[in-house]
Amino acid sequence: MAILTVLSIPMQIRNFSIIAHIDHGKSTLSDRLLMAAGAITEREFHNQMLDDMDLERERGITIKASAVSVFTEHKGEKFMLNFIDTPGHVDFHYEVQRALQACEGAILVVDATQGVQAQTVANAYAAVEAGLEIIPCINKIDLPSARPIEVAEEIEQVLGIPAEDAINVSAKSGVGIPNLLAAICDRLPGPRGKREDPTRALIFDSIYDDYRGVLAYVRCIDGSLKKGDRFTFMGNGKGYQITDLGKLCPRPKQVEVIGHGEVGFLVASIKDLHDVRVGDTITLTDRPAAEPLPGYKPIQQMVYCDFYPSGKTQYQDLRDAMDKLSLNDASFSFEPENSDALGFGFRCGFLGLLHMEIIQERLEREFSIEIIQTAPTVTYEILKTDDTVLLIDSPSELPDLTIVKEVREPFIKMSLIIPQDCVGALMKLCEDRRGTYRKTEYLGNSNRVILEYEIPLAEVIYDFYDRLKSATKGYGTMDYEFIGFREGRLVKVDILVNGDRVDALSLIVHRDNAEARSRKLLVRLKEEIDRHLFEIPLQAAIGGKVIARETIKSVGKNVTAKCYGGDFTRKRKLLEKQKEGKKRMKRMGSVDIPQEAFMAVLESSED
Amino acid sequence: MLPLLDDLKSNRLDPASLPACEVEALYVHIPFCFHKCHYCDFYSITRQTPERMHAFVDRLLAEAQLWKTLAPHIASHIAPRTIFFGGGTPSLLPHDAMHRLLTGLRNVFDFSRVHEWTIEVNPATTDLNYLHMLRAHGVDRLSFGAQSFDQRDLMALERHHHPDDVHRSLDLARQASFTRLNIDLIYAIPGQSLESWQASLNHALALNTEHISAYALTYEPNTPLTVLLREGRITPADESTELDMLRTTRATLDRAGMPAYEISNHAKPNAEAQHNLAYWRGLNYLALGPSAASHLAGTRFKNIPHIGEWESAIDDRILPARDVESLTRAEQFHERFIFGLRLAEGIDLHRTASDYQVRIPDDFHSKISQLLTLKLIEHHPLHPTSLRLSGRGIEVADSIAAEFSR
Repeated sequence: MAILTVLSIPMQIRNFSIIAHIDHGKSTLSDRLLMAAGAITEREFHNQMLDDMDLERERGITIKASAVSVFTEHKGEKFMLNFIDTPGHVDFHYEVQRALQACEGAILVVDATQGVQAQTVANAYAAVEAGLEIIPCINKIDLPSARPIEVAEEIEQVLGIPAEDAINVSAKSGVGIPNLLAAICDRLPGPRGKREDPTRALIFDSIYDDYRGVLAYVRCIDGSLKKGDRFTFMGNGKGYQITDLGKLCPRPKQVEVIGHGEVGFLVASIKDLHDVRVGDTITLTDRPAAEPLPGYKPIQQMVYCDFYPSGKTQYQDLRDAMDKLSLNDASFSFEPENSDALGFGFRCGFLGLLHMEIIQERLEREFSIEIIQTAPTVTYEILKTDDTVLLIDSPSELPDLTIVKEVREPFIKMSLIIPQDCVGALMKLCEDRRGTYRKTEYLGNSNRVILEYEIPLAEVIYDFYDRLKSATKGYGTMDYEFIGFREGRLVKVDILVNGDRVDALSLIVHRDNAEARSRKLLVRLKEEIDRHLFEIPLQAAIGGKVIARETIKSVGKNVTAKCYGGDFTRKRKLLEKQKEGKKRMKRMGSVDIPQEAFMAVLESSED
Repeated sequence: MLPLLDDLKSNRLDPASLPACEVEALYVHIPFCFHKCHYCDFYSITRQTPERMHAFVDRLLAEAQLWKTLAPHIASHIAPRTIFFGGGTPSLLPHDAMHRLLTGLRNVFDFSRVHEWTIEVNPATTDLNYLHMLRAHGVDRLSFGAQSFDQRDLMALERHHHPDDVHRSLDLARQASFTRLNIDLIYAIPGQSLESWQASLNHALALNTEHISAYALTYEPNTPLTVLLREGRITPADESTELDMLRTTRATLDRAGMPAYEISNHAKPNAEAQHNLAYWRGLNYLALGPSAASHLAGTRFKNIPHIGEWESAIDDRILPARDVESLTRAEQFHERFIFGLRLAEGIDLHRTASDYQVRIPDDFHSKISQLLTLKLIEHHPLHPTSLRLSGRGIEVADSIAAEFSR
């Protein structure tokens, strides 16, 4: 790692994030800025520099934030520009907030053809909340369908940022980039905080490195950090010594000091990523700060599902893979789970649905793990008759109803930005999903509206996003934030397969929807479960009361008459063939249930 | 000499490595046909001359001789109780070629214990002289591929005989003093109705043979019938029709005093085909001729399924066996058990386990008790230690077998 000495020269510092709705060109713009500042070459520009996971590139989203420092000159002065990258998806709202805390400014990227979208608004509000100076930046102005003037007006109307402040660029061709660089230097404030105060450094990201352990990305709000310093995490009180400091320029470079207002990463032989919590404050052990930086809260997983080993994968393989994965993603949790139906596995918590999919895909791709995944559920708050409160994340944990006073479910405030002519369809969808209408706002002259609902999270995690996309031909966007637990008439529906309760198929639903949901689920199960040697009754029950039933008929005829002239090898192979395709099955009692059946709960919510 | 790479790949048989064992049955495959029936996937060729067939007989006898030379420890134990000539159409061999084959085999192996010798005969081409010759050589059982007595079914199967041919052939067989006669029937033929199948069954019963085999039509890969099915040009019998036909078959033949002793095989008392039973009972059988499958003490192998290559191997004095598979004792036990369930005599689980010197797999008991509860298997009424498929179990025999394969 090269030693960076240039930093001793005094210079201006600008810390900022680039925020955008998915696919509005954030990564390309970041890379273009890096190139303009001479940090990467034209060739490197063509590879996205900031996203380093395959999955991110495929999905066009940034999962893990990182920080890059580049140097430029403006009006004869030297500037250090620190880009603090933020994840672009609704699941990572908290990470976005923490990354913004490390900045003084934000570049709000809006696609000139698509205009303001749900996450544009959510991200902009988050930036405003963090007290950041915002530079609106309208991207893709070279496209024929670009409408920068209208988009600037939308930004003004929705976010209150004057239209004339917007800078038009094309990240792809480089048009307008010098203006943007100039605006960053001119319009964004320098670092806040005090150079002389006891050190307070905000952790806004962390990653696990196989050789060095945990790397924590920090922003020195007050004071500074230097190599060899002893420090304390104010959240958990654990102390370490800094063994290395560095910056990404964008290649990693060692530094001796991370000065006031600067960003960089520190290494301190920390072995467990879970000790380094995003949002926590680092202070020096010798001269500690009195108070941590405000706003830290532990990560809260809102969506849960089970992973069980399947096929060739053993429990231990799955455990090892999850351990490794959790080294570089502290935001998902897992603990051992034992299901009657599926054996030993793990109950896993995620920030949201997308996060869950990412983890599942990474397990399969990076670790060649085969898993059976149960349908996702949310966390419920149970008020018991003795007035104690219990948090459960699985329907099977719901206590006996005689000791339950209230079942509360998580609610979210959901904003949808959709074409005007889809309002009817979306309102119906939200209403069907037990949403409460809050308000409608019109977005400039673009005949798009912002629709706001309060809605149970459980109703959204199933397939809401897909349905939003199909109802709006792909134009609709959404964002949400958690607003608290609310009481509801919620019941647990048990699913009995051949008379045995399959805990992994249980669901908590609103009483009014219980019959309809159960019937649809049973029909799906009937399609997924093969015929057996006996009739299989499928039942849905609340308590002891059956509310829906279906029957899977038994195998009618399955017999090969011939003995193939004594060619029994062939005959046996034919029999073995019947067993193929049963790999991803779990035997429950005497019924083979395929993996798809466990996901059937997901698709049963609508026709 | 080093083995050729090809030989290694094709998994050639090393006869010296086979354990010595009693060979209780002999099968001879004669792969000649006039015409290939649309459903048949047994190896056969349709273009042949008397010279070709004589040359084939030479090779069959040479193959028998090869066993004596290359595996004397086995050959000295080849004293079959049953012999079966299948095909193809064995009766297509010219009179003198068949005569030579029968004489020749008797000179190589010990036939002193043979008590059942079956040859498959095409109903369209039976002639009395030929039958007399077979009978004189000790052949005592004939099997006729009648398949159906409805001309429409025969056309669907591309069988080139007329229902009346079967009557005529059986008369000739009886004239030649054959008393042990079988007819093969096929049901679930596209377009076949339950009534038509019932009529065929009645027709067959009226012919008063001692044995009837009734097979559901199977769509085998690479047969013209399967191609037609895939192209949607024929409609297969639906499951419930097929099931009705199976049930009708069993009821009708039961009533007529010909209960099934195996899923597809019905016989008058004591007229079961012993050769067929030898297969299901896991006995040792040696097979000659292209594509023929053998089983010797847990080793299974199959002859090259191509007449030219089979002949070359024999000319090179190499046994033409391929696809050698040595089953462990546990596998032999497993196979014996699942196939034994198909027999009316059933299978004695504990005795079989001790015969093969294996422990009964842990899960067998729970599976058996579940299947007993479901009435898919039952205890043999006269030998309660034996298990067999119930009437309903027969209908789903493959699913039951698969239960034990996990």
